[in-house]
Amino acid sequence: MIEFDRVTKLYGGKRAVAEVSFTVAGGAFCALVGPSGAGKSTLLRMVNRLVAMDGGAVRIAGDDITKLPAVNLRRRIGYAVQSVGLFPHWTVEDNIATVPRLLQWPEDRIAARVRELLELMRLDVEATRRQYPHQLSGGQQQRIGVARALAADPDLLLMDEPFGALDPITRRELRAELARIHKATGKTILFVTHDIDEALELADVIAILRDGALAQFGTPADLLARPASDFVREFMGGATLGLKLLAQRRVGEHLRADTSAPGAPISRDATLTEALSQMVLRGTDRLPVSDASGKPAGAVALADLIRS
Amino acid sequence: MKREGAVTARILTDPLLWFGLAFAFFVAFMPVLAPIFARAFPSIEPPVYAGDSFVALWLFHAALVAASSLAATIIGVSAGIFATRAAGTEFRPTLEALATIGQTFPPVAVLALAVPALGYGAAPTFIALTLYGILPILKNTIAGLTSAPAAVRDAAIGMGLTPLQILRQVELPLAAPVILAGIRLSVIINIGTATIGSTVGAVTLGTPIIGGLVANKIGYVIQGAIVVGLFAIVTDLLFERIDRRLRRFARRD
Repeated sequence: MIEFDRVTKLYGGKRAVAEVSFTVAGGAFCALVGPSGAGKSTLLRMVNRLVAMDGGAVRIAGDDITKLPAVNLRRRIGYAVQSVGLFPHWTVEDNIATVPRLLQWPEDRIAARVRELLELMRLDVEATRRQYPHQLSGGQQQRIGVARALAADPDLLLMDEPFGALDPITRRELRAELARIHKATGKTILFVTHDIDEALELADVIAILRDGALAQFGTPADLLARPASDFVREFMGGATLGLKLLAQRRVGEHLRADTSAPGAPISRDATLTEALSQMVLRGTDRLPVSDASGKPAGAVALADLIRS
Repeated sequence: MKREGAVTARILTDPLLWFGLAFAFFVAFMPVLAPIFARAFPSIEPPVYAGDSFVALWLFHAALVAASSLAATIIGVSAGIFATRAAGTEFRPTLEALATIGQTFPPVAVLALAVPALGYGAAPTFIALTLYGILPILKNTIAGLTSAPAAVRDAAIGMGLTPLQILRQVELPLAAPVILAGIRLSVIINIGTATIGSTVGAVTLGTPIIGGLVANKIGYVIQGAIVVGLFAIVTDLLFERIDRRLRRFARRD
């Protein structure tokens, strides 16, 4: 669990972060979103004390972060950034091993951990292990960056626009990977992005910042259904808010017991946006739905999409 | 078989091999060339410099350059590290100015000023060469240490490396090729400059050169100059070898 309590940062008398308070439950994926200059990176960097706070407190699992020496605190928190910052003179293996070595793990445990992480990142262990960062693609480098952040098995992971510099396809791929890794590891993740769609796809909770202040904090469904201000509504997508709401909901939650709908069935795990898209493409207002094993589970109708 | 051929060809076309052999030959067997020099400069007797042997001259010369370059490296690198730490940034312009003054001061003038204090011999030459060698090393140390990408430094701090660990594990290894280039330049300059030390009585490869100039014996000047020149070239090629090893992780494109 991580708790922000009236966190404040001043830059030249101006408040870059102004009394921001919210609490992220342990194991949750929290996205910090907002336009450029909203203070989201500053807020993130105050958690591992790369930026000093001017007021308020951050508590991790109830402990104030200023209680530990900064170096010890940082070794307990995973950190991945957009520019990756892999050490160019170290192999992939040595890069991933950075924090375990600082914590003086035995070498065999480090080697096993490196192997485990490369497998988790779906990289070819033997081919990648001894390569230098410049021999990898941007996407691979970012995977190594995330692996390095996870190396010492921290409970908390800070990610500052980790996929910001990648092309859209690699970006989508890594998003899916990150969602999978979050599920598999149960880490608490704080994730800075300016891309609201990325936040909606990945996050359990979203903190929207504007000019250093917290504009709204809540689940994606909350923010979409009940934006607290015009700014939040606009930032969430304005006129397309409804479509984004559909993207948050699954077909399975809107089933009707009707097995007579014609055509190829869609999965009950598909989003309502996908269902709507299929209806438009097929020129129909009803779709058959199948469950995970492919058995018919019912149908979804256009009218069901509109009722929430 | 083909592979072995390629390796042999690579060794045979290696400039280090040929310059090394030429250098070793001139140092060890200069007297063998006496008939050639006798024909070229019939008035000079003996035709080959007959003071200390060229092996001895070279050993003194190399020791002087090695000692002064080591001193310049220790001072230059330490000052460069200090100037790039948070506590030292304010001293950076002063340090750079001091090193520049050291460099622009003619070595002959340093010798002239050092002799009254230290007497004749190797000591004033050592001081002059050390002062002269600091600037390129200091400048390159500062340039190298500040060139580590901001993202790399940010990640290093964010993962919990201490400032000393960042310096030793990240900044210095990344700066090593640049620092080495500074040391290389400094050593090469000092190999040439050390010859001037012979004007104040240091025994170097400059001894036949200075002696030859004073006594108008051009043959000695040529003999000394050939050995100094080859020494500088061989040393430079050796540095190139080290440099390639240091850059093994660098981009290969």
